[in-house]
Amino acid sequence: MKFSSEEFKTIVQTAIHNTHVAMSEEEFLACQQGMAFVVNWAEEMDKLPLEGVKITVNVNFPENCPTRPDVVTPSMGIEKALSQAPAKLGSCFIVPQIISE
Amino acid sequence: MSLNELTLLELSEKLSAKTVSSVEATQVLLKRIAQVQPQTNAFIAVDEEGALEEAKASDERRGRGGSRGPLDGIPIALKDNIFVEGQKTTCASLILKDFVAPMDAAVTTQLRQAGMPIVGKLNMDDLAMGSSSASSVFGATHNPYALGRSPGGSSGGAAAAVAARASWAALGSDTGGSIRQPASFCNVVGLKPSFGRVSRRGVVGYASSLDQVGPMARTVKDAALLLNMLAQPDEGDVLCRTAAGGDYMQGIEGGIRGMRIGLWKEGLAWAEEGVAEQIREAAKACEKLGATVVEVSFPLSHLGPLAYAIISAAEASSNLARLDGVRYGYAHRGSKNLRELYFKSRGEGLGKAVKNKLVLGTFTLSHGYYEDFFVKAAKLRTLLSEEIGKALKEVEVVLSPVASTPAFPLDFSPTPAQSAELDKHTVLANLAGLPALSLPYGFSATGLPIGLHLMGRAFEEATLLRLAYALEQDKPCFQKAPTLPAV
Repeated sequence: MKFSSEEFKTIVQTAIHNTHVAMSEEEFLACQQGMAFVVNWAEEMDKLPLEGVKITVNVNFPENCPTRPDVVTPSMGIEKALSQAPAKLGSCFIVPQIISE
Repeated sequence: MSLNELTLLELSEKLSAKTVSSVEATQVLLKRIAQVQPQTNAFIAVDEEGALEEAKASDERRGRGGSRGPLDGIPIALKDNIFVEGQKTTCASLILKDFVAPMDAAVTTQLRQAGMPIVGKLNMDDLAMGSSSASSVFGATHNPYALGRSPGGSSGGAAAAVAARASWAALGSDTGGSIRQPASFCNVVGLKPSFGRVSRRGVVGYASSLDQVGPMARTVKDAALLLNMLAQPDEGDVLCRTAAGGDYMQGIEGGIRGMRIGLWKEGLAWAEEGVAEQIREAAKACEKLGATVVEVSFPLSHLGPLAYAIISAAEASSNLARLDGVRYGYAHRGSKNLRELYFKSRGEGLGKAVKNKLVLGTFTLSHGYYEDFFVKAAKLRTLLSEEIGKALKEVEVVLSPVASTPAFPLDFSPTPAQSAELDKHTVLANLAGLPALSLPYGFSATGLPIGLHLMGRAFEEATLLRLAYALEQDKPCFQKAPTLPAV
């Protein structure tokens, strides 16, 4: 896929936004450079006979790992699940206001 | 010879014969760790009290005639992405710097059941994304064979600790070569089992279709003994094989007469001459020991790192979305809204390389780009697996270098293209789910370790170990210790 430099900058900004990470200008430029390398390299895949090829998501599966009965088992419990929460109240995680002003 | 210089198997024999106790061995090891830690920075945490307590319990069991087997009483250290209940699991990352594991990993439970005291947690690259162990929030690990050089990564602390005789063995994890490349750089044996051979439950996920846990040790038999313990089914990891692996020590001395071995043409060509020379020597040694060696070619293998870059980034992006500053881990204080909390917690808590990887992954999974990047990479993965699978019908094991060069300097700052090059020999085994082992096999002109890469058929770790053992007997490179001061 070919992109103009402005298009590509927007693509990287959108991806950063969707990844939910804050980045400095310096980090942004390094990120853009790294992504450009992979995007250009990925053009190599256009030369391959990929039509009709199945995708591999997991290897050695499910042949060696048959599905198992869906059985309810005890979970770790609320107290443990909350033990590492940066902020908590009773049995809840505290989060800041969700609907922005 | 000090106890810490013994191999794991030699120590096991002494413990069985009761000529040494687990407490004595653990004390020697703790002394060694304290001695070499300032030079290597291999450990993130040392649990002196816990290890000695477990060692004492092991000695008491043995005294009552209730030993749990050959590993009972042998201290071990774990890469710091493996859960030990009640202890920090930091992944060498700021975002998990204070995270305390709520449970044991499946492999930790297996260590406990085998009676192995857990002596500490080992340094690594930030969230296991790297090939140098220099991106750790706790500072870089140094290669015991050349302190100004990298021990490799991401399981660099594990390799450095074993090499420095500061642990008889360690557990690492391998997504694209993270056990094998550091093993190669540090003159230790590193085994990445077949995908599904060892449970990943309780190991912080990076790329779930590629991640595997495996042993790192001084010798092939030491690694085999550890794999016996690790290769167990676990319903807590849906991708873990439902049958146990068996006894990998059985038949390990069987020799390689009649074995058909492939020498990977492209893999050899990518390596610098000093490395390639050692690999050619290994091929000749195989022939001398009665095996047949033929050249094998994987014409698409130069695209292995591309498939790996896209797939690992996509899976990491999905896996690490959970690090959001709400449920656990680092949280930015004083955020005005949830969006700011996410952006600032992740922006401040994640390292640069990790952020770049996650952004790439998010992009390749995005509407409009998914088909052109992720789907094509997953198809390329199929082609690569087929290419290797075809060769592995003709040969039982494929030989190559583990890396193109020996350990690089600690201040090496690779470009994106150079980063991709670092994994090119190792990623194929992850993409195809195959077992692969790094065997110490010679030294460069400047004395840096070189590793031989052995890749085999799925779930045929026993064959890899048999070949590796035969070569190790022929050329016992593990005997050359780094020139660190003795205990």
